Amino acid sequence: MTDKVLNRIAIYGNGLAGLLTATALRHALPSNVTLVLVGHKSASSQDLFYGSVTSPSIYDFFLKIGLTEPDVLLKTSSSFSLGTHYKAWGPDKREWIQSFHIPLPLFGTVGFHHYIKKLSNGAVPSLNFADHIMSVEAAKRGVFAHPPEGQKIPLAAVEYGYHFLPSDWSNWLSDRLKDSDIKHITGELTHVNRHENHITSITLEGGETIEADLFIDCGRQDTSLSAPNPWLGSRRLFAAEAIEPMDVLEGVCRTLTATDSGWMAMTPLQGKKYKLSLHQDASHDGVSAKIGRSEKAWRGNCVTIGHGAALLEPLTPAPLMGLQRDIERLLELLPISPDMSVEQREYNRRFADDYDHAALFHRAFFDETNEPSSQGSYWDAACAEAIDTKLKQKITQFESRGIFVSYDYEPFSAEDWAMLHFGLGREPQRYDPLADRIPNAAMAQRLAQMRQAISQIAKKMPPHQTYMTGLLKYLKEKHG
Amino acid sequence: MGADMTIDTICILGGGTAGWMTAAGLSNKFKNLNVDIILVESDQIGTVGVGEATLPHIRFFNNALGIDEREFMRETRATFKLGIEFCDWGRLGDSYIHPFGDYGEPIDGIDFHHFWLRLWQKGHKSRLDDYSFPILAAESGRFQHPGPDATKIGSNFGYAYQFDSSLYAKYLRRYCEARNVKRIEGKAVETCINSETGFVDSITLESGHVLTADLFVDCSGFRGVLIEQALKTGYDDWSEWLPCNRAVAVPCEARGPSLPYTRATARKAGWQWRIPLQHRTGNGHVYWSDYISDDEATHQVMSTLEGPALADPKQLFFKTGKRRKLWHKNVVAIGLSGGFLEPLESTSIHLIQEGITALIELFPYKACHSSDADEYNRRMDLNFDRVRDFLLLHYVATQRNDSPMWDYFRNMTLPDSLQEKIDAWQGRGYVLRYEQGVFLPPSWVAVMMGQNLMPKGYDKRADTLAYEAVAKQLSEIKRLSAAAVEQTPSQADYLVRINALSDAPLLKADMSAAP
Repeated sequence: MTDKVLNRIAIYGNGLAGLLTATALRHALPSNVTLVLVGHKSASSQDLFYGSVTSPSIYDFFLKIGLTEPDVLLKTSSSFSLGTHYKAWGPDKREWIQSFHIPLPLFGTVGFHHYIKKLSNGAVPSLNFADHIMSVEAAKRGVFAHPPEGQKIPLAAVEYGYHFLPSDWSNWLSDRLKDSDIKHITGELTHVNRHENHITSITLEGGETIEADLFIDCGRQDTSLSAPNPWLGSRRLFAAEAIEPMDVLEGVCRTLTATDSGWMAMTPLQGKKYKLSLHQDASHDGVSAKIGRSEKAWRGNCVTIGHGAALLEPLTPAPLMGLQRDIERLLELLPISPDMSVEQREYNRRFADDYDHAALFHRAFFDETNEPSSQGSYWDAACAEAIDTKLKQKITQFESRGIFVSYDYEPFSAEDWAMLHFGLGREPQRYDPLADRIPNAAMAQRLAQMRQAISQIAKKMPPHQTYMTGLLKYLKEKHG
Repeated sequence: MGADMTIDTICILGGGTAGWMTAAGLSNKFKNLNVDIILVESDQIGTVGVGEATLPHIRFFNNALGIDEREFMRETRATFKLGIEFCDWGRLGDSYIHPFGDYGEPIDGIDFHHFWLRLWQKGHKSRLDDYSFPILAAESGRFQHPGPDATKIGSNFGYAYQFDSSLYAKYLRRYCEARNVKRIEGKAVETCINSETGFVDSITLESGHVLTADLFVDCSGFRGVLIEQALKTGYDDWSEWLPCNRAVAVPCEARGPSLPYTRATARKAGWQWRIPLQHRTGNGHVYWSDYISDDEATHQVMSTLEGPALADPKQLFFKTGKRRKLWHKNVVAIGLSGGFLEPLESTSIHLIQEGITALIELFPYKACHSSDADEYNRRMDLNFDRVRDFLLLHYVATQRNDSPMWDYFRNMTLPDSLQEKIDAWQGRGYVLRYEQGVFLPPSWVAVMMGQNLMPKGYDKRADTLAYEAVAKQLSEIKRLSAAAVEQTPSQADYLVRINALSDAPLLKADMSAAP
């Protein structure tokens, strides 16, 4: 290669985004690449907008960047998560558990939700989608065990993520990085020095100047290294957090209860309860942030990662999934020459797809008629958001005949969409005609067997706290 | 017509590969349900049946039908296919194989080719092909089924078949007739369209017989008797991208042991295929009539046959593109009635299969809700678009300048989606991925690399391992790949061993010429 080698990377921002990015880059890159992490002194952080639940994809992501499950369980307050229990949601005050589960049961090539529809037309009117999902049953009972691999039992289809406290994770990652060769500088940014559209260096209060070939902006939404960037989205939300001690893990999923002005979530962590409330109005205390994404996350030699690039409401695991994908995209496209136009174009394409697809899922939580809800400002603002054609297709196809329309590399799976649709009371009008291949009586019996198997397994599973205590004891002995 | 009434009768018009595959797929899925499936075909109308090579997905289709592989291979004179050899595409004299399978295996989650590029850019001159079992096996004419452990070299590849598609249609016809598909001999001469709904109510045959059905599947070939002649659905012409518009096809006597791959050789005004079957070899020349006459095109293929021709050359005319809506009203177009893309990557039968799969998943009620058609069309359009880009790649990733056709392609402004893919590959060996569509990243790597688009860089993370460690891992994969090929029998022996060889005699020119 004749191109100039790019071996100096500066990461600006020492919140969760900066620390995860630094961890990932150090793990992935050869040691001749030097990494500098520049953090601000002021503690005001928007990290609570990452929420407190990860998706199951965190497990592979951790492995990819050199982190492990024992580590996160031993060194932070994280606990297991089967999903989120939504309460009093929307105009009909709906309640459902949105759990992690793959795949949904199939009979032949027909999804079981078609049979639920078919039987509920008359034969067994009381059938309920959620009663046939192992992870929902476990979440209801607050029990947990690792799903076995490759076995044909209902527990094998359960997926899990983690509950987490963003500040705990930051402390953990920050400690870990102390053992690395990453240079960590704290200071307020005073100047960004540019040559054409590339950043050459940044200057900190006190005069220290940091030069680099690539800058990664992991700062807050309102501080930015790169030049002003059009922001798509206008809703501003306010979030506030509170932590209370808790001896025993209460449940194995987050609960999220709707309020007039937004919602309130309670997340069970090791030794504590984490409360996060979110509001539409400025009258509430808390940290504010603007929902949406920037038009382009990568410009010149500066890649913006985390809230500076996009910010999603912490209604689902989407915010952290977004951050994971930012980092994965960066790793795959780390520039190899000063001309970063190819990387930039591809990064921005995937960035837009990832966030727009996640936003479809969030928009689907709210009424699609665009009419004021009379529930409160939060609901009015959410319902007023435009509905993308892709979302229209998803809802139309599901309501028409239970089809899941999918696009390339969506963050939310068909299973996630199924739970959301049913949770919100969306139902297909018709079922797959192939469902007629199994007679109603036989199908009713098979579904009853499924429910029974699920309930038997759930009864044998230990409460979250019991499982966690045993696991931590084992891990401590094994890992010292 | 009740919105929620299920369909009683399906009429499939046309009995070529598309018609019988559709009938087989539907009759299997709808067994025990009260659905009548009628297939109308006429012995007077020939079938095109040039798509004799397939993609690995065909195995899922056959498996779903419960077809026994060995019986199917004997009946259709099939051979195994490990990939396609492309000759003279990048430059005259070049050749490479596009295999069904990955190169090497990822190291720490990073695609293998980045590590190979790292070594190659340092002067290490191995071929990427040396890390692909299916390529090495194809080159030495060997085949055996992948073993049970899909993580092992020699077991992690895909395979397809090369078969006689008219025999496949006949084989499926027997399958269908055993499952109550009703075959009616006849030619549709009239279509009756409902003035209110615009649906096709019935077709009238030459005999005067009137066939009424709830759903019609148009497998009538290029003519699109229902989708176009009756419903005037319209056609998206893609000649701008893929201008070849004619072909001449001719079977010949097989020479030597049959090879487990198809060959596609680039010519001055098109390209020529060679598909080895058990009993004969299929040949054809796809060309752009602006740059070569029919006679010259025929001469090109006739003068390069490996053995005596078994029939007169057959001329085909086509326009690349696809029907504006593959599903319109109560008519679904499957096969050539839906669209045509030249058989450069054996996608014809695959697109038929995709059409059948999507139809089954979105199978309508009597009212044929337009939402079902919308989703069907969205999926099929994506399939067609992505295949088109991949085919176009073969023509534009070229250094050839020996004819006006190649000049046309070298000067073409590409669709953005394709240009971005090529740029990202050439810049850093990065493959723009998609989830939905038939050709996965290894296929793109095979063609871009095979046609001399060498990346200038590679993934920076591939530098994390020490050079010696990478060299060692690569040489181990190379050794294991070569060793796995050593353990693999020749395809000819293997076909006998597993009883997949037909006992019908090889075709000879003098036999076929005999009265």
